[in-house]
Amino acid sequence: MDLLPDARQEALAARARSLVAEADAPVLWDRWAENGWFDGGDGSTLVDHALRFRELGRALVPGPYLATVLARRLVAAVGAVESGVELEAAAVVAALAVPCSPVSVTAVDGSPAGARLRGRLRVLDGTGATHVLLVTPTGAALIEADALPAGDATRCLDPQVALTALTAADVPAALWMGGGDLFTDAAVLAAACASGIAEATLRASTDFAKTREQFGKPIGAFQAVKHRCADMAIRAEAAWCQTAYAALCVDAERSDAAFQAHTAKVVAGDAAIRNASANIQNHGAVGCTVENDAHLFLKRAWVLEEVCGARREHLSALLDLPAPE
Amino acid sequence: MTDADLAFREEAKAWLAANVPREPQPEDGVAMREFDMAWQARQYEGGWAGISWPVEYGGRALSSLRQMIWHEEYARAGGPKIGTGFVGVNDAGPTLMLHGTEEQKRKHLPRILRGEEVWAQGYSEPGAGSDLAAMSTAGVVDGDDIVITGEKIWTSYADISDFQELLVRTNPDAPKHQGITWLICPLDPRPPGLTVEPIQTLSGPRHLCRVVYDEVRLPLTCVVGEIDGGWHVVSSSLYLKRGTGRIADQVSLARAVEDLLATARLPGSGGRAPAIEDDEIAHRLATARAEVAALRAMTYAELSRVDRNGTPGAEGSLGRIFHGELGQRVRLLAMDVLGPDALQMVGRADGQRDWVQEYLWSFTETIGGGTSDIQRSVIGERVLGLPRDR
Repeated sequence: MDLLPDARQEALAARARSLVAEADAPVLWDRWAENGWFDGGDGSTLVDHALRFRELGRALVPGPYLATVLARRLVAAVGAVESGVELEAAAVVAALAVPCSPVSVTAVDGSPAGARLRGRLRVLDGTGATHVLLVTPTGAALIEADALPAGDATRCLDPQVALTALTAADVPAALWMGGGDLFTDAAVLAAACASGIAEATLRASTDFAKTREQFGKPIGAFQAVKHRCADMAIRAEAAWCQTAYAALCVDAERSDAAFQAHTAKVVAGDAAIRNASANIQNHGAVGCTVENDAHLFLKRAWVLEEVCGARREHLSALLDLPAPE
Repeated sequence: MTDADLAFREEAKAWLAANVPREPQPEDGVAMREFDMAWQARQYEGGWAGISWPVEYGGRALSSLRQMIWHEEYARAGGPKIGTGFVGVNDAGPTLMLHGTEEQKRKHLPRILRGEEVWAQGYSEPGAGSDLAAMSTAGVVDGDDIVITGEKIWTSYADISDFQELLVRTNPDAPKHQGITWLICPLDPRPPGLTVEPIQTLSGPRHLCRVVYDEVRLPLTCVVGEIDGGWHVVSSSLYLKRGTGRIADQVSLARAVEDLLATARLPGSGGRAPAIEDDEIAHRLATARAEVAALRAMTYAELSRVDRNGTPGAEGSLGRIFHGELGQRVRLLAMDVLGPDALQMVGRADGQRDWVQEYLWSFTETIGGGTSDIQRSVIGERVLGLPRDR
């Protein structure tokens, strides 16, 4: 089991990184689509997707990348069971739904079509989306955006995320897939974004600690700051190692893939929030204003914490599963 | 992992199932030595000692992956802690392989693998713990001999060891890292002038020792590497102690979490409700499960780095701190799971875990082999490139 990226994966991550650095938001979305990175049509494994989502997380890229990749995986998976549901994956742009309270989904005869949803949802980045995606431990539903009420636009904790609250009163889903497979994928990719945040904030803190001087020396020479940076490095390492391992387990269809994915979401989510917090402390007053990106990392980390299953859901799932071999 | 690796795993599993000793490991003294060496000899006879060591020194020259598979299966089978064999197998052996003369290697390596030699370390001193290079035990070259005077402390199992890896200062005028020499010091029979005194640990057993040298005279043939070159000998072999050797500790920590989970699901004494019914305990147990899994992923990444670069690099410290502190969190959680039952130390006699003893001993996890405080500075400076603080 080699956990370091091979030459092909190094190249893939480098390509995503340079694209993210060069292109502005709308251009980046188009380039992502041109490269087929939403679909995995280039034979992308979950590890490949995770490497790219790590870059999106690192650079705080806004937009419904996560939901769109997941939605297209859902369409591909359902298509594979020859459901008779016709939906062109490449046309799907999905927004992520976060249930405010338990949302009931009633599947009709186990069929991929015709499931009905009831409950209150928050929808992230819904502008321009063709569909809304709800991923839960027991199944995933893709709903046509037009089938849902417009809802109320509200202000999101993360200023780069558009947020709408709405109530689905018996809305039909375009697609429904029972089981936790998509929830597992979602946990891994959200963990990849969170790992990127843990790494980016570590980098921001160490760069700052090398140049910012107080008492006549760089603040990174003081153990209080240096050791906090060391703790950030430990959390970032744990986050990415576990995320990469979970993605490998999913790709290899190992029996402990779900266990590893729950773990990745918990560990990387924790690393993102705690590193983003430490990064604010390391920046002192600079970190308490919007003139520095430190606040954006913290806010995005909280968005990632609440999507694709919050910590408590993943923890309780971890207690119910057998320990991995 | 190839079919041959999988076959190796099955073979290891079957052998361990038939051979792992069922009686409890004594916790110190001669009884522990006898237990550990008998078990080491049995592993050697079965072909399971020195899996990655060269054939000419009694090993099998197999890959580090096979070594890792062995450690995983060993811990899963509930094999005893390596105990008194630790320093010989994991430190003295690899150090001699890198720096010893052919005569030193042929004399010691096969005996270490066969369970015929117990080794102790001799690094820390009362005045030199984290700042190891500040050590002052003197080694004065006198003709073909070296004469040693000073004191070493916190040396595990020195009272029952045959040899000691001993650091002495041979040049007090050189900069502190440049005047140190690495020696093989015999402990049994004791050379004239050498005394060993066990010190009781906070968890009960007496296996840490104070070793005092009063003009102990040894031949210069006991020097490993160059005179004044001891720091190089120590630092070049440090990484060998990490990596695959840590796999066993990690799998046994995973086992501890599973055992604790099982304990938490049972009613407590006097009919108390199972500890896991408390939400906070359940939350911490699940987190411990997740963190043990993440530790495993970190170790795999470290082994991948070793395979590619020959060394885990300073990044090895990341996993080491995470491992030590996680070990402490798990044992602290055990105390909370036990509740009032934590007041009673049960001992390991009937195969139960003594969580209280484990909790007390867990304090060493962030101290032994370099405190986590020093490790954090190493990470800050060598991994992150922050300015030095010393």
